[in-house]
Amino acid sequence: MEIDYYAYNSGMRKWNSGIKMLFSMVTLILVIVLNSIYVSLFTVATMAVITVAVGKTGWRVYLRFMTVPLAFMIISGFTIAAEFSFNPVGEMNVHIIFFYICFTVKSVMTAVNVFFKAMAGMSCLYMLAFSTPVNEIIVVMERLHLPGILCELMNLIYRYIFILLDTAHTMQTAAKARLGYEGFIRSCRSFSQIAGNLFIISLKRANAYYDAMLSRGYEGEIKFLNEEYPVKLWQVTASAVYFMILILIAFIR
Amino acid sequence: MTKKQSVLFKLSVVFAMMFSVCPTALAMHIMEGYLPPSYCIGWGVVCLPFLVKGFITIKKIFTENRKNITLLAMAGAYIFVISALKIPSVTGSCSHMTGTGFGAILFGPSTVSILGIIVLIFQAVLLAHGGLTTLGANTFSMAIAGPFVSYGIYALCKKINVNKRFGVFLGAAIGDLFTYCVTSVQLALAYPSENGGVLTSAVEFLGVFAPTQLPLAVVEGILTVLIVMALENYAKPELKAIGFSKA
Repeated sequence: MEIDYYAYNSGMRKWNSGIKMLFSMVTLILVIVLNSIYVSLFTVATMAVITVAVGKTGWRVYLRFMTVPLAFMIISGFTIAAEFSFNPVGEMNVHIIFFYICFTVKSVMTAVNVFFKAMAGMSCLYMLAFSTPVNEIIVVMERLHLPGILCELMNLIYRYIFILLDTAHTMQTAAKARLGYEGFIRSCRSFSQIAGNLFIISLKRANAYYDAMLSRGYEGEIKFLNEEYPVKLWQVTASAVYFMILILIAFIR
Repeated sequence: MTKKQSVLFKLSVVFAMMFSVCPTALAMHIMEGYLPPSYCIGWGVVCLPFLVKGFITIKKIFTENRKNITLLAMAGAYIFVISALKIPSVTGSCSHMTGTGFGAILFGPSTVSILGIIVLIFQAVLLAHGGLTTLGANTFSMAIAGPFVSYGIYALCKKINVNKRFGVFLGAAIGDLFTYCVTSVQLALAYPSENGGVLTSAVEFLGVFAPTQLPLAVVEGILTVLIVMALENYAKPELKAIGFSKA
């Protein structure tokens, strides 16, 4: 949940959340639709610069988060590039006991392309996540006419997540202090007891929060206070120029 | 060390590193940017009927008793937290539950589809698991296919009078396995193998992810049973209130 902390401290915190969301989403869509490795590389680089230099997120933090999905990328990238066969069908074949792992130039290129496209996609997502707290994203969704119940539900879930995580953390510390995580079987038992307890606590809290809401005049609609930041002209022009550059790169190369 | 031994050693180090460097990625979320546009939209469309059904269910629950809003929100937050907690594992790598199978057994599959998509959005924005363009595909595998299978198996076991705990185990484990199968097929559809087509590719994806996903499914099943047992010990009245146990 560190991302939330960085989002509140971001240098782009005071930008209009709509424009941030538009910027990252349109870039994301362009990366996927244009499907060019140069666009992907350009996006990875520029988004990193925006997040680290303008958003003031530490580059170590940024790097750590960019490597989070690496295992998935390596495993699935390998699967896209390689093919398992009893005959050497590829342009490069590795013989293992009784079968071959085959690579062709085309499949390796696809894998590399997908790898960078995924990286570019992640960097767009991080640009949004590191600069915009979730409640502001929900406000934008509300503007886009997402049903009110869903928005309320999202807002409440977002708040409750932190409460429950805190409680779970306390319980885990208590269990650890009593050697509750020594050995696999005992860990399983501690984990499930914590999960069970957490459920009961969450139900009790849900009741308490409802009573609290009622006593403050809840009548079926929750109003949240939103801070408004105006859209600046340069932000719109910069985004437009950026999109143009992306499209140009795709056509020039 | 002979040359072969040293190569083997290096390979094993690389293999081990993959698990230690990035432990959280093993939950089988398809990453941002991984799917071509037609698949992003396609999977989203496939999800729509389920989501509409879920929305209607939630709206009904909500109009029956307004008090349920905090309850539903807590349920969503609970699913998120359960899937964010590290679970004990044999191999030393840390892994996570999907939690949606358990949610489906407790709250019913159509409610979980809506809670699931919200949880997936938060996982993308707060934990960088999955993504917004792959939301449709991930929602289908984790919040729809998995929970519906879990619930179906659990309900079937209840009907033919199998031991309830065994039913819970089967439901959670097979639901988890099914999620992983659907994800593999989704990846295979987007990236079919050159010579063998979609089917070969699907088998490849299944095989490559199997070493991490099979034990995980069993662990998830066991943990779900233990959680349900803990709940039955401490929270009988609460379980009755949400309609889980009648006795």
